Amino acid sequence: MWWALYLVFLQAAGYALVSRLARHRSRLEIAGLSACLGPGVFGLCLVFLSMLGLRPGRAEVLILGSLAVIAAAISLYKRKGNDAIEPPEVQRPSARLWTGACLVAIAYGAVAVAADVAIYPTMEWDAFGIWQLKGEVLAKSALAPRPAYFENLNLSYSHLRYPVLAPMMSAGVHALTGRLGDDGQKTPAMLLYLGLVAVVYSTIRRGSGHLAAITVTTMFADLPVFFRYAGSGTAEMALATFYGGSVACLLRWWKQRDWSNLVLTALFSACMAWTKNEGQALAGINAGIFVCLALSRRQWAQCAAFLAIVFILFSPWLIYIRNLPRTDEDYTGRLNLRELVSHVDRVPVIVRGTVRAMAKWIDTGPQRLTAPWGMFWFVLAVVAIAGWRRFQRGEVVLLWILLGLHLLVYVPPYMVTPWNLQGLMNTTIDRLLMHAAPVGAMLMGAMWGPAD
Amino acid sequence: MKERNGKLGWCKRAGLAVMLGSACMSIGLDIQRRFVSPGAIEATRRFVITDQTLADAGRAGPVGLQFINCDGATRQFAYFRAVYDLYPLPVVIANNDIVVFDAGQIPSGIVRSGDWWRRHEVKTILTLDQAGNSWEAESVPTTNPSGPG
Repeated sequence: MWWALYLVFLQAAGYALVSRLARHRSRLEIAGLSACLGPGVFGLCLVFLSMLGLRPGRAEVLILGSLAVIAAAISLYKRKGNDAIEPPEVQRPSARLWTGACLVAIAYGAVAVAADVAIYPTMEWDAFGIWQLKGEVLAKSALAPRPAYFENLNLSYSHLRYPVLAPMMSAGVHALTGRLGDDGQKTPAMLLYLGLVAVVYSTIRRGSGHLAAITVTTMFADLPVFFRYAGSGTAEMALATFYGGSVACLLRWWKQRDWSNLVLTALFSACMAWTKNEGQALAGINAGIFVCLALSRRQWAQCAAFLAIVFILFSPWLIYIRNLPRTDEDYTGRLNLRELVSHVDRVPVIVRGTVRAMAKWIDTGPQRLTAPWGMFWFVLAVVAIAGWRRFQRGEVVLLWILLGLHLLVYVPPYMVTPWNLQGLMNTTIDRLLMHAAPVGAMLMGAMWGPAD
Repeated sequence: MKERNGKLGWCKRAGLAVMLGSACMSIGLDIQRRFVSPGAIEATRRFVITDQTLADAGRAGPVGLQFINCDGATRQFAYFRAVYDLYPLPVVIANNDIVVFDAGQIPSGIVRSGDWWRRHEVKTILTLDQAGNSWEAESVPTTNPSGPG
């Protein structure tokens, strides 16, 4: 009961924003973007309240949620009749059958994630060791004054300096139920999963039509990494969703150069930075690409606005962690030229490991640590070669640049890691590739579309 | 790969079939992982038993953990899980100034005195003996049985 109510609050928070900002979009896309952004925005509100000394209790969540529902209702009333209707495609019976098969496969993905979220205990080590433990800490005490947890060196393994947006989403469920532990705290992941699937479908459909969109989305939604991590309680699903949402809005902004998509891209980027350290790097890439594109048309104001939104929203966390003990791997401290040069010999190992992980299509043999990818990356490689003429399209080039930079940004941390490189890659590379999967799917869809 | 009269070329048809096939294969693997693989069922059972043991121990108050004949992965799992299950109760394994990042920093084979546990306000000590594959719970006496001093 409480979980369902919480999901309504999250969706309403997203809708209140998205319905005002996202114009000329289908209902499915608006619902998807709302599901992607809602948990982030609602979580950020709880984080900021917590930083002001207000622990998220049941009353706080109910008040905030009610405000979100009222704002969503007003937006819905004002928007009535303004939704863009996607022109229906004439489908032959075989295509309808195909669509039905795809929907059944997507439904399996949703059921599998729901089962992980609601039935299975939190079994992923990083989930209970890091993310859900932080969720319990945030449900029990406000961020100001700083809880003893952040100074307890016995708990260094939970990465005291990791950002707290994903745990705060879980803390909201704890606040409503009044209980800690495995008790529905992973439910926001369900919304994020469904939202991301809807956004990927809508983005591909616009350029390449329904058939390509539904098929690519089916392969994307049923990726084994989602079965493994989406409902596991880690922050991977949140980061993949925020990143997917940011890229979808960046593509729209690039075509329309409007303020609405700018704000949405910036909000998603800020949520990414609040979710994981990797998200900060990806938000940096988004910012870099955005600045380059904006400055190429001398859009100084938009450029400044994007950077300001991301920086203003994220800077409280940078200030908060300034004095926290650095007891973990401290990648930020290690990322200097001397360290990078001294470990340059690791680059071939990293490239080989990444390619091998992408090519792992089925889960066999002794190395079952990383999730397989089915034919996902293989299909992307084939459509890239077969559809070479699509490289004339700016959208395709932009997506390739984003994917390339995304994969590149993970190389330096692997170069300077204090852990055994192969061991670390075996346990993390599938999660890092999961963050890039939405861009991979959008790219596949874009390569499928018309050449010009 | 051109579309003629709204019909898909054979190349695109093959591509779509490969994509749906890939999704079906993933679903098959997931069904096998969840419902057929004995390892998955055993892992879930292990979590349920561990959670129950820790919940029982935590009823009296803060819990201390000590490990005998345990490998690193077992120590790490037990400590991380105990902290998660019992929060906000403290789970004590060593003095508070010790950085615990992985199994290497979790004390092993050290049996502490009742006094040491009392100083850390521990109410129940859980001893995990991997050789015997058992948790043993023991309450910490409220006073030193040998008297003051």
